[in-house]
Amino acid sequence: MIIRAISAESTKARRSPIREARNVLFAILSFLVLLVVQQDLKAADAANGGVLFKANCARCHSGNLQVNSTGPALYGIFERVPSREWLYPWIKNSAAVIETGDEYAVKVWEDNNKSPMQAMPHLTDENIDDILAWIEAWAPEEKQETASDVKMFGEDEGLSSMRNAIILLVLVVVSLLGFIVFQVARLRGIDFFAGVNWDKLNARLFLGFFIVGLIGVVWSTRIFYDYFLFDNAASEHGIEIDSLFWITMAVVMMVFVFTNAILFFFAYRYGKDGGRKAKFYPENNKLEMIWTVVPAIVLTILVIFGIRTWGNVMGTPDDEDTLLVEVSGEQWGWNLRYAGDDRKLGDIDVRLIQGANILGVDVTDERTADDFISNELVLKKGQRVDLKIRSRDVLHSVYLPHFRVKMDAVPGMDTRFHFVPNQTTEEYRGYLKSKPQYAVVDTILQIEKRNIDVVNGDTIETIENVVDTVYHYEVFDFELACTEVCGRGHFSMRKVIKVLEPEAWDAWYDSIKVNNMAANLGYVPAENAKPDANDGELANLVGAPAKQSILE
Amino acid sequence: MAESISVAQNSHGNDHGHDSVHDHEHRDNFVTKYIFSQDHKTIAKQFLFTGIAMAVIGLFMSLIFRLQLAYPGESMPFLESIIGKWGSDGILDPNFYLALVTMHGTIMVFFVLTAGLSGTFSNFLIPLQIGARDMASGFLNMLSYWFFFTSCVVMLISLFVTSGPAGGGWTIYPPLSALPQANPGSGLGMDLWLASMAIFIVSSLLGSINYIVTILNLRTRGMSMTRLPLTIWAFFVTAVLGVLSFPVLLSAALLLLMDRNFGTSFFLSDIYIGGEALSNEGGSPILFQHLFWFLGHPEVYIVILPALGIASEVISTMSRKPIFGYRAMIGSILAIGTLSFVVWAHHMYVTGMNPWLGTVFMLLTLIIAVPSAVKAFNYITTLWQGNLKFSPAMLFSIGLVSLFVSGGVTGIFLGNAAIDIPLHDTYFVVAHFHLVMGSSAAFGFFAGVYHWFPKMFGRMMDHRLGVAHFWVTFLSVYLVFFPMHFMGMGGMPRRYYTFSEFQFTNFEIYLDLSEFITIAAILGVFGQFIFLGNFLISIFRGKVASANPWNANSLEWTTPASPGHGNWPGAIPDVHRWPYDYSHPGGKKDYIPQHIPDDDPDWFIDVPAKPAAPKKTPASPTPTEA
Repeated sequence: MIIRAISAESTKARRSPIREARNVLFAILSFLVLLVVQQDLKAADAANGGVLFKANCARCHSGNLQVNSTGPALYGIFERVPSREWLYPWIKNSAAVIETGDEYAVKVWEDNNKSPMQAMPHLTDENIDDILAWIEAWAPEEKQETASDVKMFGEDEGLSSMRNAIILLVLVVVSLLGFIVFQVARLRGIDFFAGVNWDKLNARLFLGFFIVGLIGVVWSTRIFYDYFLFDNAASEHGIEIDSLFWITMAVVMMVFVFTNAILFFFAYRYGKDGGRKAKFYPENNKLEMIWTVVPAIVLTILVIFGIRTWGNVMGTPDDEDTLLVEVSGEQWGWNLRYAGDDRKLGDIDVRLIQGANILGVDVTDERTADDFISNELVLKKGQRVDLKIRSRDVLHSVYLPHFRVKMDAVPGMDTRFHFVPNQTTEEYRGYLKSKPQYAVVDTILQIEKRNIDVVNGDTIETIENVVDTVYHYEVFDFELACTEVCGRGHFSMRKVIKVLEPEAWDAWYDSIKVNNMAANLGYVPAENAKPDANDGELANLVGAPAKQSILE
Repeated sequence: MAESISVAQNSHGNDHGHDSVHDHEHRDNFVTKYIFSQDHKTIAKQFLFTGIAMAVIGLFMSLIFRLQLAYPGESMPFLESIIGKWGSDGILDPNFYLALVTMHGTIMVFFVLTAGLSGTFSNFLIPLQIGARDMASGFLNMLSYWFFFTSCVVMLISLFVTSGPAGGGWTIYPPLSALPQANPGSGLGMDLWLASMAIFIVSSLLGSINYIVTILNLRTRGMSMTRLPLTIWAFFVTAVLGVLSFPVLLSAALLLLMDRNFGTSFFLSDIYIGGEALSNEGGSPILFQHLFWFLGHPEVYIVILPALGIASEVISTMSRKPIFGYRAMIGSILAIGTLSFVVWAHHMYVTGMNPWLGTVFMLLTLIIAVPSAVKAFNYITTLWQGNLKFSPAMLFSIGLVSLFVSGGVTGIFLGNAAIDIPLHDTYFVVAHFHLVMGSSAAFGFFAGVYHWFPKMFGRMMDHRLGVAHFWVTFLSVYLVFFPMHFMGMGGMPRRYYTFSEFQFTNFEIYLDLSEFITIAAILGVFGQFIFLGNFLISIFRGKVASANPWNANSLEWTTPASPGHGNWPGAIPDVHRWPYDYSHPGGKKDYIPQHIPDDDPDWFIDVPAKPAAPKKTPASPTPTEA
């Protein structure tokens, strides 16, 4: 959508087609062409910036740049900051800038509850250029040209919702008026309900409530069925959880419908005509036995299934080839650290967090050197991933809905969750194609295609508008969310998860692993470390005993 | 006064002259009669009014955050006039959203459904139903209310502090609740929350001890434990749960206060926040969760058991049938009470607790479904072949059973640790506990108010408005909470300010659904005004009630329409039977009150007019006639 907006803007700069004045206008034309090209270049940058913004910034900064979210609104940012150059170190690591005592940095920090912006060490200067270009190009009254007959994903229906609110208000007023009329009538001795048999009415309402309610349950389940998670889990253990879920669902629906049915039926049957003689029926031990033993047996079976699945999910894996990734939560984002070639994560201590060392890794630990940080959780299909989960401030919870993964991030205590992704992102997108909510248009890209032909020695340029339609399932990504309330930005702790085929994953891994801790922070082998006053203390802190793993 | 009551208690039944002293003992002025009263009925009404006031506040809080969920990002300028800076430009502040969620939960769970429900009906019914002049200690009872009132005031004050009220969820998990740097709601607002809760716990303990002592010691002659109405059994087990579990929350709250203010590290370790690493080392946030849920889980039974007790009484009376399986009902109350202490960690399956513990708690959690199922089926069997009278109380009791079943069965998903992995902390949980605990208990509360209103105020509530209130409420409760299961099964996490940040939650249909739920909630809240109006007007203008308008058996209906201080103007009646002799085959009417002996020719068909020697009535509900 972002791309579309900007390309729409660029169409304004179309050349004049007057042929007679071609030679005269050539200079101007070439200038215009240059402008278009420049704009196109800029548009590409800004477009990329938009994508980067969504991936990195949008969890705290609203996409509507005039709205404050967790982070401040970014509209007009260039008028506020000391200089454009100032933004680069700030975006990469705001805490480091604050530490330098920079006046504006401290002010921003204080204005935002003293929570520094999450560090983005993975962004290059070019990335930041793009993001800034996008922010610069963003305009408040962004006119979006869309084909009106295409159903767009997430089209704003704000007006209709306000309309519903008005309807509701009218309903409330009408019923209030009705109530007043009713009361006045009553005072004057007119009774609208004089002939009503209340017991019969209530009895019928109970029966009606049950029947209509049951229809409502079936109807709404059909609507939401496509949205249920419990189908095609993206992890191996998830399939097991799903089948247990549906077994339980079968049992529960039977109990739910049967129990409510007899409850409402009895209410109807024995309430509709008053004055009958009630049966004196104080107890029946056989019946009590039945509804003690039957639920007990059913629940025991479910417990046995449950314990087995739970054991499989939580047990120690015996795979030889396991990918170790550390997920650390902070307010309000996640950092992902891969263990690198040695498959071991270096020690970490919050007291070491400083400057570029945003995680507090121990650079003297030899296991640290090849660790690297990734902006996305990229997993290899079929390879078990062992998530080491931690938090540096408050409780968070790592939630991977499509993988049926959830585990709290607890400061001071590492937790673990391991699972095997069983399909790639592409494969999952293919599965989503059949779901109506994903088979809608996500974005319409208007791309200007420039054709340059040489006819009879003349250069003829034509610009062609190509429309490319992107469906929602095509841009689907697995996501990581937080499910333990952690303050203001709780709702926005998003990370993208990608599952790749083994070859593609290997290529990704080889390309990213060079950007490791040793390259970024420098690796100081412990024996070579300069002895200083803090050394002894540091050694004590490394591997402090407060850490425990649930799997050990 | 307390002494004279206990004297009367000891000598009741053989000294009518002494008992009548109570008629002319009124030296009460306005303050001692209505404010610092030691009369259990007045205290019950004080709990009732305070509970209703808190419920109104809690309901309106939910409306504000429901509006945010239905119309995220849309400016609602009226918000600014209600909540000031937290709603500037008509946009709800995300911190205040969390604060509202937190305060809604706290107020509803503790102040409405614990104190409002238990406080009202335990106080009102225990002396009346067991045949006592008052509570064992009227003075402690008065203190209990005033501690409760103080804690309400402190909690409400926290709404007005600059940094806002507590905002870490009603479970106040540290470190979020311990660190003001982490969340503005963890500033002064959190200290006030903890202070309020500490005072609340004192109130609860004073009340509970009093209830237990009164039930054990002050029962009238013949009122054995197996002749107690099920309400009393429910209040009794509730009080025991409260006495055993609330102190644990108190200790957790004190430890948290120390972590917050005195630099201890009970729950804190390895924290980097606000640009600095804290010196706290070695604490465990999980420890707090264990302490919290050791109260927190019994707490949900503290909330629901009194409601179930009230439903037992109302369903039996209004079906004109004995409650089915009286002893099974007592057994299941005791089983639920016992088991409720050993299931707490099912709230913590995915907190990083040792997974082996998860299997134990899974087993125990699903076992607790068995006594719950017994109760549900016993209610339904009580309706079978009954002669149902749909008083508003009866409607709410039947509604309670339906909600208890519908909300209870989803506990089978959540209690199963493996299935809990994807469902934990999603809207599925919100749906589950609002149905099984929140709404059920609220329905029990309404049933109790409608049923005992005549005894409280000597007047009847309007029947038609009661019926209208029930149907609006019942409908809206299902419309609000049932669809939340769908959101949970779509994976939507709870306590989210908006769902626009994630692909898997950002669907138009969820916005539509949120809006639908909000509208249903507004409808439901609107419905509560029917109740409020009916309640307040009926206190002054309702039809004057007779002493026993429902033809009920239990002892409170043997008092005058509006019992005075000391409850019975004459002697306290002796008890000769269980409270559920409805439609007894040998009876002349379809009910036989507890104080009627087996040889009373006014009540029994085949009883010879000659005075028979008093014989021991079996406690079991055996028909006297073959």
